[in-house]
Amino acid sequence: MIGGPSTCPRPEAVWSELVTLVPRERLEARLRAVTRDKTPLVEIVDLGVPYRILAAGQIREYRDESRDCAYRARIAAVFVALAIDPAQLPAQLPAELPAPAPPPVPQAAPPASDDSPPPRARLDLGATAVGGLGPEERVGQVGAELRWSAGRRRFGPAVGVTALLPVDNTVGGVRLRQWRLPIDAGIRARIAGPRFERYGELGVSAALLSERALDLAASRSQTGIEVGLRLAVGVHASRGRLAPFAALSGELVPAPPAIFALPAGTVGHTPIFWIGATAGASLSFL
Amino acid sequence: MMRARAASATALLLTALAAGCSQLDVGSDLLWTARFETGDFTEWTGVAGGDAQAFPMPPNTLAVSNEQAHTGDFSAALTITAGSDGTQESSVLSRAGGLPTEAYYSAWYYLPYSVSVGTFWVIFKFRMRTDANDASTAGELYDMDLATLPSGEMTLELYDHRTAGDLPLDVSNPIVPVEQWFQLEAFYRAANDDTGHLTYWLNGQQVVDIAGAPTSPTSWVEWDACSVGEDLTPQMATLYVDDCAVSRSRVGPSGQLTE
Repeated sequence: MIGGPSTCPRPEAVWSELVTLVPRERLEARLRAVTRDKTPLVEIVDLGVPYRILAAGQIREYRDESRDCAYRARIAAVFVALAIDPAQLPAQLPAELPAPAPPPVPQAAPPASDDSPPPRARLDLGATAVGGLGPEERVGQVGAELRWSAGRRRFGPAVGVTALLPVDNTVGGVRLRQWRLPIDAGIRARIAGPRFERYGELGVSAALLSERALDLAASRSQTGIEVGLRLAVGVHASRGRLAPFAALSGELVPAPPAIFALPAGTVGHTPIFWIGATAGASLSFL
Repeated sequence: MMRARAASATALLLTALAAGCSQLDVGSDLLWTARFETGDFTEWTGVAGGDAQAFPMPPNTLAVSNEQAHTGDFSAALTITAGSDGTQESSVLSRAGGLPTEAYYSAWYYLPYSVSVGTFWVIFKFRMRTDANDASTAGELYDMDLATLPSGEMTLELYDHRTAGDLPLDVSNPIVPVEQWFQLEAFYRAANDDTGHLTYWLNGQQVVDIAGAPTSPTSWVEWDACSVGEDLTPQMATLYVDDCAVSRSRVGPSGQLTE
């Protein structure tokens, strides 16, 4: 049932390898089932470096410059087994056996994102570091930012909240422990690309601000609201439901709250400008 | 319609931005104040070791007055009649004890007219105790005096009772204004070692700084805003005092005692 003029591999060698892959009884039953005439069901043709295998109407040609006949026999046996009894082979195939040479590589598949629609919404969660700049104060804070944006079109709404860890700083000689919780809402504009999506955001922000003096004879905590304008730019990967992102933001607070302490009076103001950098993961919702 | 909406949105945004301007009052370094706005001396007499009295009275007086005020409506009018008979006349607001080892002491003064000082005229005083727990050991220490220059202008002198002499000022003959409120402020650390410290400012200008030397046998402190004089011309001299404070940080001429 295995024939052909090949000497490397010889048909007998292929048969010997084939019976190690498929039980003999099942192999003979399968070969009988697919045999329709007297011609060999399997034919091996040695073409030098290439060698061709015909099995159950399927043809495959391999190349082996070393002319390792035993190797060729194993390759041919695997191909034959796949051709005549594909259901049996996976369980029987020894792990060390090389798979048949892969079929010709097709043209690169288009990215999945090109076929799938843009996400309906995104949820960004990242670590953030912000710095506040003002005439009387410079402060740095770290925390976490959560941001939601929606819309498949170029423009869509975006809202965010940032939880910052308390930080100690000094304003006008008064040591303070400052805690800040900014929230913002605005519009996100997107520029989609095959690998990355760039975006910019413009909106308003409001920060809940708590200040507590550390060294005054009589200290008290006070809470206020900062209102400002926020601008941000960012980028995230286009592929995958969970994609990394990074963003830079700036927030202008035209009328920052004044810090007042007796007897000095107004010792300064909270920062008029905040800059921030955030990096994390962006989860998309289709 | 669209323009009206845009204008409304802009107005709302500007209002929100303006509303963000607020003041966060984080506390106070003031340990005690006396502004006399209660119309009496309870700010002095209501605390342990505080007192307000003139002696002998008459002719000397101590009263809350609305004739002059640095802030608010009232001040304390300290009036003495000090002739050349060698008698010391006194009108004194005092805090004896219960004060920190180191603090800033501030008071505002108003001289309605120039006075020629014959013997002395003390307006700002620190006293001490050799035993902090024994009132009988109290004694004089540093007097900030008003003095008269040959030009007729008034100036400051710092008298040290331990040496029975004036200490040199860093600023020679600082001019004390008449018919204007002026501020005297001192930083005083009472210590019997080289951590002792005494600094005075007149209207914010440092006039003397004594550091690295013992200032007092103990950490007990008495501070007086006073008018104690002898041989003044004219004999009757009224000194207005307002906005007195003891603070952990410097008050300064622009300092506030209330919001």
